[in-house]
Amino acid sequence: MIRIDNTRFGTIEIEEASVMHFSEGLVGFPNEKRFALIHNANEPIAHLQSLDTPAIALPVVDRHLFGKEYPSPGPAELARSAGLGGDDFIVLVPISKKNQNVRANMLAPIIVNAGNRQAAQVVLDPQRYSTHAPIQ
Amino acid sequence: MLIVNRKLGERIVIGGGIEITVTEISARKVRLGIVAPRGVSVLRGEVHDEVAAANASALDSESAAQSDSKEEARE
Repeated sequence: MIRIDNTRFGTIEIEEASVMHFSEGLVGFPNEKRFALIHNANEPIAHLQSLDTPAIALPVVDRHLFGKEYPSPGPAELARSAGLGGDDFIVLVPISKKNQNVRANMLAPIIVNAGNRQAAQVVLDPQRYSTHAPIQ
Repeated sequence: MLIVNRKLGERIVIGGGIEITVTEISARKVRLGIVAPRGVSVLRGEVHDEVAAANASALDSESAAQSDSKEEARE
């Protein structure tokens, strides 16, 4: 078990097997390499909690909120180009909340190889996707 | 910052796995060809900065929302 104090969720304990490994960190946060997904079953918004920096918890939603067409290219191709491999993927989309507005960073989703938990934030086509897409 | 002069067609090799080739030069623009291993992201600087800012803003909005909820709890 990995224990981490002073997160927004208080002290949490994470099983080693559920740690996601980001070899390149997040874009702009290259030193954050280990995360755990904290998800309350009743809430649509989950959090990627950094296991290196307690204060860092990135709010995310599942890609299925954005329909079957998202993301393009699809998860398998994104994983391959990010060097992740595998055949079962989780795709998470970062969101930010300002006042009552929730915006999704559809340009830069997070892709996780569900098998080995290797993960990366990938950047899609900026002509097609925005970092602050409104959520209906 | 390392600064090197390169002519059209010349390359720079970084770390053995990354190659940057000057493929076209005009008055105000150069075209670069980049070869990098899978798993090494190659981004235009302004796109990288936009995504980094979006990540920072998502983290900030989260701590703001958290302190908001603390405020509410106090009221």
